Amino acid sequence: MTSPFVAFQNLTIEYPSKEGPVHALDSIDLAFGAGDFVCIVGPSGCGKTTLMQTLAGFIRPTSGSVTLAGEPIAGPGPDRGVVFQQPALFPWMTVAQNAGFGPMVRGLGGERREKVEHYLRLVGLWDFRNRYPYQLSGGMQQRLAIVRALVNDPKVLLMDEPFGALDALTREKMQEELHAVWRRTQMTVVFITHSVEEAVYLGTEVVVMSPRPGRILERLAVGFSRASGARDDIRAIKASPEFVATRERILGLIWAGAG
Amino acid sequence: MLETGAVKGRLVAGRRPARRAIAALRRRGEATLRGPAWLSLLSVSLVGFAWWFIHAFALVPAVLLPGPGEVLATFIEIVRDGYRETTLWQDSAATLARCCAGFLLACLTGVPLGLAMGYKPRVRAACDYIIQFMRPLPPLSYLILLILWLGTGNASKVALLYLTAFPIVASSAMAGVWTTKLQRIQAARSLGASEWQIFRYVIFPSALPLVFTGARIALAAAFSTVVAAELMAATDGLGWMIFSASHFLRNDIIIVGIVLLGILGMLLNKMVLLVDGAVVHWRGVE
Amino acid sequence: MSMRPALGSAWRALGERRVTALSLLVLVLAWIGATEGGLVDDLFLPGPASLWSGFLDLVENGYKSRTIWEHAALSLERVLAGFVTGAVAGTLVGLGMGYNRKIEAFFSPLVEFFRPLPQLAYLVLLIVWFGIGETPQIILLFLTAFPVSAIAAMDGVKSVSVLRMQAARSMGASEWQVFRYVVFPSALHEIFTGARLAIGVVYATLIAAEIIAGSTGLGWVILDAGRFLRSDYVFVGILMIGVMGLVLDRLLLTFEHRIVHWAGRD
Repeated sequence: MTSPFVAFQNLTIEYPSKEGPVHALDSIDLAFGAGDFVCIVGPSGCGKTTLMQTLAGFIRPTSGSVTLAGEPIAGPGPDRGVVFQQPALFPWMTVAQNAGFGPMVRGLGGERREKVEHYLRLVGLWDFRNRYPYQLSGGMQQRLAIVRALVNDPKVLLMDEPFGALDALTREKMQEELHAVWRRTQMTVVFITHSVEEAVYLGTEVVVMSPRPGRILERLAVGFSRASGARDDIRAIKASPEFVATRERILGLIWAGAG
Repeated sequence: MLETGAVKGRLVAGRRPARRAIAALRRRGEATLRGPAWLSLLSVSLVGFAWWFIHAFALVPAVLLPGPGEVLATFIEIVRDGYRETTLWQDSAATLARCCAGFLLACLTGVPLGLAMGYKPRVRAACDYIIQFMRPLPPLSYLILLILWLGTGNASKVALLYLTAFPIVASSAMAGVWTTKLQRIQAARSLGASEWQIFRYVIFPSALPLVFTGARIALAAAFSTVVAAELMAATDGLGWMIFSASHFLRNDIIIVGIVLLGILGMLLNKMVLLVDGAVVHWRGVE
Repeated sequence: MSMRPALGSAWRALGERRVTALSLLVLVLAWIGATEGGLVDDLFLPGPASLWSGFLDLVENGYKSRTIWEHAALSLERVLAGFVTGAVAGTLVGLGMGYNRKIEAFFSPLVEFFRPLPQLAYLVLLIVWFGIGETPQIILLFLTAFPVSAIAAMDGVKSVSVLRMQAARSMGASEWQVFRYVVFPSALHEIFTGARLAIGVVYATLIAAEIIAGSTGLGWVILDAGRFLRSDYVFVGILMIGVMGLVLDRLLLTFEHRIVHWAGRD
């Protein structure tokens, strides 16, 4: 087997606090291939955000390693696009300027305009390109944050509860759209969520974590996201016995793990 | 939340005092009028009526409280003939020029220093204690030293206004840098921005709202100080006009001067607000 | 390796303290060098030795028939008299302005008129009216503190969470009880911040007033010493004014932390 696309090897993260060192992650071993959609679920404090931030390069491993395409992570970089729960857009720039920020700072002016237009059209924001982010709804802001990450052509897209702050209807719509984008681009995605249903629906892999210190409880391959993206199908999928069984199984794992 | 990387540590250092500073800065924000306008009119006309009443029935000697008509006549007279060889225009210009010279010099030096202090802890370590020492000192207390050093001319006054505005501008720019959201920096960094680009496109715009708030407070402080300085040692300017008029018991001129100063102060504040509104269009959206 | 972040920040903190110490050292050495080395006349910038002797002289002999502590006490009395009256009246009016739109509409033209006015401008008028003495100074300080406190209290009331008021009402609280148990405590933090702002402005205004038209107090001491080119007295006076201002601010801050212990925790 060739070396995996993303690999965490014996990863441990500790950080100091007033009450002594906190053990955030404990010897995590996890690897997955290009094109996977990996969903990480677990209760609060299980270190899933820490795991993602280590891959993003915001946190350095205390011990162990993280590699992307065989290369160890040395810090944040444009090969890993990051989307946060709060969109973290730049309110002093227009929608188009936000979307083109990556190519702009990297000095790639030429290909910038086409790509920005392509992605903004894809998510229906092209008509809003001259607005400012605070003039958009929450869902539109999050779409823009995703576009901003995608325009940079990252090798992997890291999403930390990107839909957590949205209302339930917008959230389902955003899931559909993300699903469609993923099917078109075959991008590798690491997706952190509190919602088991979201994870089972979107992921090709679901990783279940336990809290303090963060450990991997179980890893499951799921196939619902390979189905077509039509809306009727989605309703049918989410109501199907197989889907419900998988969802309940994962919920059971989390409850057991949370003790 | 984890401490991630050096920038977070940098930005978090001193964030608690920053929050207090920011709260204090915001407190001087705009109060917009609500409620029925006739009540506002009523209170203004009550004061006007009391003024007229006291004057008309000579409850107070007219020398001490000239009537509204007299004050208006004096105003027209000063506009036409000026006051003791200087025109009203010259006096207002002298006051404004001193105020703006000191203020602009303070902005040109204080904003860059404040930004650097917010961004680089070592710059802060080297300069902050001086600014914190100067901030609570009443400006007029060191005017005497400045006069001793620079004479009674314009140099000592501009220096005074510079020293009045500088600590305010610098500390608000520093606090502005600290308001930068960590996630914005992380987002920019993961999109490939260099340290300089992060400063240019993320930290600087994040600091701008507080930079402008600080500028407004500093300009108000400089304006109030310039009047005091002119009362003490000057041969022109609106403060001088008021002081000089008091020697001749010309209370009509004093009142004209006070009202003019109030209007000028309001105009200066509005000017900064206009620039602020045009530049910082994202103020208060989050 | 696990301790790297902790060590890193400790090193950084140590480095920063070192930078402060270094910068302070350079400043002090430049001062000593310039004054003791004869680069600058003692008349313009007193050296450490003459500053110290000036301080001792002021403490032992006082300044012009009063001890330096008497001058300081006079300044302090004026500040407190003007501040307390102005802050109490301003806070009461401000509470009303925040709570009731009609009260706000009535008072806001007056408050808005006094706020941007340079205080020293109307000192001249007050002196003409009341003569030189305590009265015009304390009225001036009252008028200085009043709008600052009023606006702070009004902002404080306006920022009260509607949910908390609704919660109190739904439990049967009367209008007065809502004001007493929800609105007033919610506004306390802003009232204190306003008070600290006000005492700062009042203090600066008082020193200016003493300089322009005083015959006692710390502000007058430095003005008078300046006339006789006693820059050592001027320096000591400025330092005393700075220390007193700092102490006043810290006292209010401690007071605030005692009372508004919940500030910033919701």
